[in-house]
Amino acid sequence: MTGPRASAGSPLAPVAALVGAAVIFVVAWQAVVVAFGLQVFVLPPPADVARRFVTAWTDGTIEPHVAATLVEIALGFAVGAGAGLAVGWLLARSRVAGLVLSPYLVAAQSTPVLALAPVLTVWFGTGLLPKVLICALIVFFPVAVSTMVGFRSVDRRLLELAASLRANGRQRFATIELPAALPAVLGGIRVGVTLAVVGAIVAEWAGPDKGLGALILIAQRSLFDVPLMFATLATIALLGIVLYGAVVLVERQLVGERG
Amino acid sequence: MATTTDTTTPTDTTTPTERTTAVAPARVREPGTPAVRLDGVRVAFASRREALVALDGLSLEVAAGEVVAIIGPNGSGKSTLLRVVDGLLAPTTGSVEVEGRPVAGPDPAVGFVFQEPRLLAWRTTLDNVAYPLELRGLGRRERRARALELLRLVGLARAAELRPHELSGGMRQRAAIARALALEPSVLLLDEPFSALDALTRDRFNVELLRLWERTRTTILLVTHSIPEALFVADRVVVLTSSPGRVAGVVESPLGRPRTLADLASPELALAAAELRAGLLATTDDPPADEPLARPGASVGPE
Repeated sequence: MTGPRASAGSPLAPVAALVGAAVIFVVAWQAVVVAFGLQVFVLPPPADVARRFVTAWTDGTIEPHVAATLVEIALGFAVGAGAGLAVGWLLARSRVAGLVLSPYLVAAQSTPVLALAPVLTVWFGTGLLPKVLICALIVFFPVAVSTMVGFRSVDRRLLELAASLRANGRQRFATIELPAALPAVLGGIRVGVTLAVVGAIVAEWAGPDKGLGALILIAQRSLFDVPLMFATLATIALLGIVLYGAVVLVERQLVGERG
Repeated sequence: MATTTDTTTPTDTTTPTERTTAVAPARVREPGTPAVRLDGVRVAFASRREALVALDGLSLEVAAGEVVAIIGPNGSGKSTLLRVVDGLLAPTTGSVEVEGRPVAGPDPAVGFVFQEPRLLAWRTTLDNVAYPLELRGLGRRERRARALELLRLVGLARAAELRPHELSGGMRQRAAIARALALEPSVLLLDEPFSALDALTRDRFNVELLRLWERTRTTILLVTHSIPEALFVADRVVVLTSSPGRVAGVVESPLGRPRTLADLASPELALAAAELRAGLLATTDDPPADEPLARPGASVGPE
């Protein structure tokens, strides 16, 4: 499932490429600010944002918001991915379940879940629950679909092998179906975890008190601290990258190289 | 295999000839109970358009330790026959017995080598071979030791820690054979196991299969498309007719045992193969293409 390793060349080549791309990004940013003579409240230069990023982390401005958002993501992801795995497996397993549940799934996916944020706030208040629900809903669909596809595409010939070796249902699941479906399932989880970040941030807009999404609004509207807003955006981006990287690591551990 | 011996394993340090003399007497051939017995087996698949009868009225007895090849045109239900013997498929009517026991579901005394290796991509070669033992509940240490012995038996010990995608096609099929032997089956079913291999490798594999048989004296049912292969490996060759599959005839191999690669090029084998080929022509559904083609260069596909 993993592609061929970086072909010939120094093992540091990918690192160099990453650093190079980052340098180009920052230089381009600075160039835009200078070329158009942009004011700080429109687009602060990278140095300002970097400075604010550091102070926001050191003076305790950003930390409680990161913690709040992380809790929402963790709970929402756990609930959404858990339900997605269960429903996806059920859909793959049972024709009737597929028939009955599919329309609701498609309807749920076609409804922009983020638009539900205000409604959920009305229903559940501005506490943790509506944020976790938004997160869970947005994570659910990709995980459910990829799980269904993963379990449906298990090689029938391997199932016949298991039958020939008299594997019972539990053994068949643990030794054939689960490992065979795992790459697809983890692909859905990879998509889901980044969506969880989006879900948490947007949910915080509906009931702004805590979290990185709330901090963006606070920085922009109350504090008129645009560098802080961009520093928050950078934090959100980093959070997404770290979570995505964590899933990729787990994936590598569980799936490895299959050729 | 070792169902009648106790502690001996196929990878004992004794040489193959010693093994043969040591094992052969232990393998009591009870004349009354054949290793495999099919009686009036009919297998019909219900399809939306028509009922497809894969096998009809098929009766066959295979003695313990015998090697029988099954040959026939496409659609003669050769693979279906093996699946019925393994208990993967219940016959519509008729009875199937392995060692005198009626077959109801996959039988532990039967090992199956499929046309494709069917290795689990996420396991090493060793863990693939140990898989049947794992399902049987053997401890990790024990099953790995046993799997390593089996890998030695098929000449694959050095590939133990490799993944299937790192093996050649031949190595994969060796691993599949080792896996099929893991539960020490007394009947080994092979469904065109060497069809994906090149001709030279295939010949070598057939010789190795015979060596394996000499050591284990496992009853073997081999489905193949190759007439020389069938006559070279088997004691008897069963010819099936096409849709539905019935026994058209049984041919004895002209070769004695033990057999070597040289026998594959022997005039006896060539003669028997020619006779068998002539007989097979009558069993196929596809009419021979003796009429001139309507248009030169037109496609001659079976459809």
